[in-house]
Amino acid sequence: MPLKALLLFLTILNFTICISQTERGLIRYGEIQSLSLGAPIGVDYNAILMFDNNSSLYITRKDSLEKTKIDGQKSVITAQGGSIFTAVTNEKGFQYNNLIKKDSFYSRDLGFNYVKEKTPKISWKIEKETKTIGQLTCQKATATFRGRDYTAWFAPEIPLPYGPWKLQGLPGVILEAYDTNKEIFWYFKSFEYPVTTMLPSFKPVTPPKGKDWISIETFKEIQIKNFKNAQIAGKMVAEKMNIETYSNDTMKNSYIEVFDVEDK
Amino acid sequence: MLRINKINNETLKTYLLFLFCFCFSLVGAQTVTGTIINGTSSEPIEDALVIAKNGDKVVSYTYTDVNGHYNLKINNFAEITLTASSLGFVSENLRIRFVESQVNYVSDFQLNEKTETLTTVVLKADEKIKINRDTISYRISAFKDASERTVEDMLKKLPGIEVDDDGNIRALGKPIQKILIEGDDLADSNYKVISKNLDITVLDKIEIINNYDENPVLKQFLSSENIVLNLKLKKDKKSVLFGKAEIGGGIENRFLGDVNLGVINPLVKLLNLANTNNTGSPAGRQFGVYTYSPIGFNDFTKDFSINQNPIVFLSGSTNELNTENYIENTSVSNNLLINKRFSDSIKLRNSLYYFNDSFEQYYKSEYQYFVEPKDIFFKEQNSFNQEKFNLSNDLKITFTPSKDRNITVANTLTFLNGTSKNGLLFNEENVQQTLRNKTREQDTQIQLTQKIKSGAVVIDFYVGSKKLDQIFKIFPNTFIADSINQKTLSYSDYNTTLDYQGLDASLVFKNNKTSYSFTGGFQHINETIKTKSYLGFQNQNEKIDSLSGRHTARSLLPHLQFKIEEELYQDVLLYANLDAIWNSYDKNNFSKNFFLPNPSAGLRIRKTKTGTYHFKYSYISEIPRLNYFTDNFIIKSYRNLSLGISKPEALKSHSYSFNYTFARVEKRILFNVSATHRKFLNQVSFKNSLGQNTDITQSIFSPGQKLWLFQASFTSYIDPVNTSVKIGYQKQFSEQAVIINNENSKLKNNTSQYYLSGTTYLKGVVNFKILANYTINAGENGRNTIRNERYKFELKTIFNINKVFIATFESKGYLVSSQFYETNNAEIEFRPKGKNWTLGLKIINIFNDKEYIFENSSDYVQTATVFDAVPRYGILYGRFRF
Repeated sequence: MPLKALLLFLTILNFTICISQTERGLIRYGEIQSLSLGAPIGVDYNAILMFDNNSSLYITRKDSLEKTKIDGQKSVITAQGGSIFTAVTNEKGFQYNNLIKKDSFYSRDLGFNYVKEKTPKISWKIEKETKTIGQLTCQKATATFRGRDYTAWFAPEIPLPYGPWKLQGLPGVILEAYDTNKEIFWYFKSFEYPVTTMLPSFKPVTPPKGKDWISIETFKEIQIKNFKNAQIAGKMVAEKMNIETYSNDTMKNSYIEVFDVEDK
Repeated sequence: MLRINKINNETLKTYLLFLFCFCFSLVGAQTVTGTIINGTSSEPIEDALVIAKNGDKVVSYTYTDVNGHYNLKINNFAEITLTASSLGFVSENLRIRFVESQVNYVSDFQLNEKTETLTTVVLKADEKIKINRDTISYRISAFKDASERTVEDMLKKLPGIEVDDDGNIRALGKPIQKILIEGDDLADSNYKVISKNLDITVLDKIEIINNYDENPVLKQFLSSENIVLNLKLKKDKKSVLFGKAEIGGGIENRFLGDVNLGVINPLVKLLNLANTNNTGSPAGRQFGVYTYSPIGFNDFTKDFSINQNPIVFLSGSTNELNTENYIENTSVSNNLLINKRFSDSIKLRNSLYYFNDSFEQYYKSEYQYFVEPKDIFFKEQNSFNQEKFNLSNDLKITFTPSKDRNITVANTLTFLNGTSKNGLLFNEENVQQTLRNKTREQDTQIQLTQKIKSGAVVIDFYVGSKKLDQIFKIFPNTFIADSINQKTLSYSDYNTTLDYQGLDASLVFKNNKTSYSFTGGFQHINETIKTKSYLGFQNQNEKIDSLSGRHTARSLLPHLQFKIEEELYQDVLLYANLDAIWNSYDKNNFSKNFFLPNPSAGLRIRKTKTGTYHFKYSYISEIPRLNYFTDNFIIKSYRNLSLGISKPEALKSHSYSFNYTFARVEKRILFNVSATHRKFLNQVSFKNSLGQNTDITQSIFSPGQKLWLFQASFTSYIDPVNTSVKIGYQKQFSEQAVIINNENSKLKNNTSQYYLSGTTYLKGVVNFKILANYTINAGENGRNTIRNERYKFELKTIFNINKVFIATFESKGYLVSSQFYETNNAEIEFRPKGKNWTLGLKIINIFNDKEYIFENSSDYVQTATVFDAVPRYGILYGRFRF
């Protein structure tokens, strides 16, 4: 008798554990950045969004996500040896971790800075337009976030507030998003739930030994400094060619988040 | 399960009445709260979505917290549908109709589990969407700062586009082929006509189109290294008349007038650019000889026309200053550009231009020849008057009957009349030289391209006919010294004709990373030069036999060519061009068959960790043109008689070049080195007999000429003062064997330049652009060395007050033989914001300098020239756009 009870107990325990374990979803995107070029003609990177009920993790520019080296796409080279598109992937990629339970957002962002901030509140305006992506119906939403006007197509059939990069907070996962002129463009490739294929580890973003979290304010300062460096690069090249160049540029032509413009 | 508060009907009525009074000030705001639980386990569901909709419109939404609670605020809606959903559960809906009396609503949900599998695939993980990456477009609004006027001003601001001092445009490091407007070609390679004149306000975007191929058949499979710019008009300018008018007047009868008129609509595009001025903008500069040579493997748009060479050149002397400072001009020009689509498959482009330039120039020169037995020294005082009249038409018709076939027919007609009058004082003698030019040219090219299975067939057929008549008078003649003929003029009549026809057929293939082509062709060239010189006095004309002659050269040139371009690895490109030409050459009583191989190969390695490398080698062999082989003496100027080579030979040379670039912007380093070496196995040299009054030049063939060119530059940026700086070094070395006054000499020339330039990017009102250059030139002729050194300074100061007042001051200074002199020009413009007019003032030669001195030296000649400066003037102008 006790043995049977024990077996029953274990089976029930097992069963409840199975049920309470949260299922994982995986969305594959293509990410194209073509800042200042007026059309989505930049390098096309593979990106994934892994999520469950607790958090989501968006990874892009990771070596292992690209089967072959970024090939078959012409990087545009100027005579100075610099290029307008820099096609670069790295070992860990850029990672964006949305912890909705803690209302926090952890990123491994540009410059391999580990940035910690409160989940950005984006004032989305949900439009009436819908379209089908794959077999899912998506609805359109628009918002201005950190200097850019975004259009996002979210699927209410996946009722979680996740999306690529830092775009989130809609009543459904964002499957496609772009800004004016598609200079930033995330396009949908596939969605799997629950995930049965092998996934890269879905671990929260943590800085390695010796590196610390920085705040979004510090990150802003670093980005503005990097931008100034890029401006200087342009001026050096103009000097070498003995030509005139434009002296004032806005961050919008080089970075996604336009930190030198105040969001309204 | 739903719980709804039950409210008494009576209380409800009173409440409603009470609320009715506050109806207008009170916005119906309700709060809906609740808890969402798992129907099976009764556990709260965290992060479940609750969305409130009114019909199709999403009113509000939120996600439940850790306890399954949600809280929604609804404003101004009479009823909503609440939907609760979560992954792995069945969604539930609930309709709520709001009543005025109730502000708070509670709606709980119980969701039942379901096994959910949502999988949808549009693209596989590694697949990418197809995007055409050939076009980069710049939104003008992103780069504009209200200080630009013409397309050229705007182009200077765009990243990836460079414009040099002459207005030549490069995009992404390569010279552009042309500028299109809304995809249509109007001006062909004369793009400066558009970039220098078209006003920026009608444009919305500027596109750089990479990989441009006008040939729709080749475009399907070949890549091209051609780049063009495409101007896209603002939406409201796409079917309209627009333009600008500029008019100005100044002291000393200065005037300028400029009118641009554009008609753009989907069927026809028309641009008329008219200009007249005497303020230093000659029309010839815009219509200048710009030949675009296609780069790379895909050169199937090349121009087969051959240029004529004049016998006599009579134009004033030039220097580095802006022409407006030392040349007086009066110019009138008009260019009518049309592009019309007749149907989907027939397009026509025509450019008709006319210009009339007249120039005036005054300068004094001192010459010193370092020769045996004694140095020669003489002086010239020159006044130059030149007038040019040009009427030309450029027509191109493209016919594309299907996507696999393309035919283009192009025709150019040119009429040019010119007169140059040079009154000079040679030592103490008055000499008058007059040259009248008459050019008549016609060139037709037809190209047929047909797609075949793995490539295309390209057939080119061309015919050209050019005539140049020159009449050259010198009074008094300076060649016949006897007393009877002293006051007679010499009258020379030179007639040059050039006729050519040719046919080229190519098979072009491309597979994966390799492009290759086989070409076979045939060309026939017939050149004649007739020279007649007379001694005319009073009414009698006596032909001088030793100065007259007739020459004909006929070449039959079959050729076979193989071209290949292969991408060995990513960013490593190998290319080769093997051209074998045979020339069956016939000149007067000389004939010979020549074999002229012209192979070339190159390797380009980009973007390695250590930089970008480019190596190139070519072997060049060709027969020089007929004007080198005139074997009678020809009067070239009042003091120069020239004799050609009697027996034609082939010129042969090796050419090597190397280019390296390294950039690390974070460390503020940009470094570039290039070197070129040309070694001539056989080249045209000269045998000079230099005398006090006359120079006799005889062309000869000589081996062993060498040329070296080396350049290095380092560019950086100084952050504290926001300035970019460049230091550079350039060295040119050449060696040539000549005979001067019967002495064999090896002329060696060595020029070194050290330069420093800087541009400031200060945020304030002023900015500077500085250039300092030190050039040292040493010429050796076996006997002695002539040295020449020169310092040059340029300072451009730009004042920009609020982008409304813009003033530019340009100063150029030279220090030559301890003498310092400068030119100073200023331009001030008032551009009121939001208005379509501008006022400007231009001042030339602010400090009213009287003259400019330049020194030049080659291996055995030293020249010092003093140019009369155009006297100071100011001109006030207004510009109006519509």
